[in-house]
Amino acid sequence: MMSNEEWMEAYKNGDVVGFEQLYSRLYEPLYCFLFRYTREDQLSIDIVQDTFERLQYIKQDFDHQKGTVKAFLFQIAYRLMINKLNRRKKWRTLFPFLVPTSSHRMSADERLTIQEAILQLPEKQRAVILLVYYHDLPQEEIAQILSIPLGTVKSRLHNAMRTLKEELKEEDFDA
Amino acid sequence: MLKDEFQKEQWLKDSLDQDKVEIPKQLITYKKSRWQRFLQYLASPTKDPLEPICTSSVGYTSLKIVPIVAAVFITILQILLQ
Repeated sequence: MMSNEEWMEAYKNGDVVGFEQLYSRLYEPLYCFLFRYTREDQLSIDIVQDTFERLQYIKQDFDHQKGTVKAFLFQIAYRLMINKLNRRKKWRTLFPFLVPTSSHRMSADERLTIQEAILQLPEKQRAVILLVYYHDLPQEEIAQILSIPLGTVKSRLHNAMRTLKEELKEEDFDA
Repeated sequence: MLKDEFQKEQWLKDSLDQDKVEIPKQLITYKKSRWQRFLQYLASPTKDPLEPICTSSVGYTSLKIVPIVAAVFITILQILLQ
């Protein structure tokens, strides 16, 4: 079975099957990361599609010596997401009355608690905890995706875990 | 691996495991066009800009009276200008 990196090399050499393989393997983890970060399904779908669209233009920039395809795609997706969110913040500052109300519905109290707790984390901590826990990525790849030093990954993870524990305990206490 | 840090925090681990994500079928099929996204944006629920006024009884009354007063004012103005 070919690895992601081998499919990427094939795609760089013009094999369209390589792209299809990468898409079918990586759209799910990408979507999960983006959705957990934003809690917006349409935005996450759009960013996944934009990420693969962008990959088509910059596929030659991928170097397997520097990292994995997964980290490369997560990096593209993360940057696209941050840009979109920043742009949206500016528009919302200009037109605050046009802010859409949340249409996402939680099904259970417990799920609502953990989802809200993750959303309430500071953005820098949120990305780290999602990449570590749900995607099990090594420290080097997370540092590459978020463009931060290696040591910062660990410190942000510890801060995120501490904040999350405090938030969840507070909510348990309130309940 | 960094995930090993969670081994000591079983309670936190259990909480995080409860967050499941459903993958939408739409992701596999197609991307929405700009036009569709624009229509969706127009159709999405928005905050009511008059909500702060409508929530108080004084604000609600003034919201009903202001158009009437404005209509009377414009009518009088038109009569005087003739």
